[in-house]
Amino acid sequence: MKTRQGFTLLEMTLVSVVSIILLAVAVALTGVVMGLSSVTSRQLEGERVLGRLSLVFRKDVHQAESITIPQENKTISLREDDQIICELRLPHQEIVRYRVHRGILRERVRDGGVVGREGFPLDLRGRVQIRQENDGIHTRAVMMLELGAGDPITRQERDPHRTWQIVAYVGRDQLTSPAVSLDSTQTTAKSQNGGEQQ
Amino acid sequence: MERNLFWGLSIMQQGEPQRIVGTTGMHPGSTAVELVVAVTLLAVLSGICSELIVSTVRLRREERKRAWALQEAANAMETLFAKPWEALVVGKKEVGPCSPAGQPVLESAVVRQEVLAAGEARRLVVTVEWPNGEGKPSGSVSLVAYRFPPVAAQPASQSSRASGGISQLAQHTNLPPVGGNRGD
Repeated sequence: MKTRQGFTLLEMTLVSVVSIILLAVAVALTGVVMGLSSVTSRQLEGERVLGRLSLVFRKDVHQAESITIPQENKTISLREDDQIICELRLPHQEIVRYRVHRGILRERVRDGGVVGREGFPLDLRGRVQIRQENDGIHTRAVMMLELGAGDPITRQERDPHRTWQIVAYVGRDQLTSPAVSLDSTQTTAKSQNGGEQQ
Repeated sequence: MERNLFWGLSIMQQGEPQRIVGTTGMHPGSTAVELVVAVTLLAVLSGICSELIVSTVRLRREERKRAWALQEAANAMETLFAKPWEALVVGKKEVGPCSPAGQPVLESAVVRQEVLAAGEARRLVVTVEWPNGEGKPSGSVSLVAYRFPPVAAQPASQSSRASGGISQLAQHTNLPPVGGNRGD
């Protein structure tokens, strides 16, 4: 009986080619999965930071008596460390300053000295802009954060940029909070806005 | 003399030209059924991997939309809350597109603002709804806040409740509103 005793060159070549293709696909899939994992964790962390920044910025603006924007309507790159974004004058001679530092840095200044710092690490490809708007009754601060959008596979930047917008009314807590009302005249003026939203 | 390599292959080291042979002589190659089974298994595995990747990307996109929608709702609530008390007419509803900042992410999302009565207070509801593609339910995020009417001037000793500024803010997506007062 004649038996087949090996593989032909053609068979071996075919097997090799198929193996190479499968390996290439496996390597590419692994790269995509790892890239996705990295991008997803960065995205979640970034959104957590943005949420925290929104809460803190709103709270500061609500408490503020005035806001100073050194470079109003100018877009500042998050790579330009130490550029001041805005300064908020709070009651009790306290100043809160937002500036660029590996993202955004919030500094509390009292009696000329920094008493607290809080960092909001953001993707350095982003940019920030802040402006004041007046609707005739109130002044509001609008912070716009343009976030770089990276492709998880090619790691190239791509358009359109996503924009995170934070709107906050200056001094809203002082308009509504009874704690700052010292006499009846001020109470009337300051409580005209009614209740309070947290 | 034969030297075993792997999977039943061996190389003849002595004798005339070296060649690859089967060690058993009973299983000289793969049958078509074996090949089909192997290819099917690989295809199934590839399909599962692709499905995992696609679902991860989809989840990531939905999470981003939810975060942006929540911010959009917070901004709308901020603006609604700053309106004069007289402008908060009970039953008033406003529906509009989301802000230009939110459009790249939320696309054709809709922002609904509603003023409802809650005793003396006003219940302010802001809802952002965004499409999730064909055949899928649209996503939504709601913020609820209560605003109380301004009060007349009171002596400083009673000023701790002067504004009646009890407020509630609830975010409910698929959950009922969270109640309770919160302080700064």
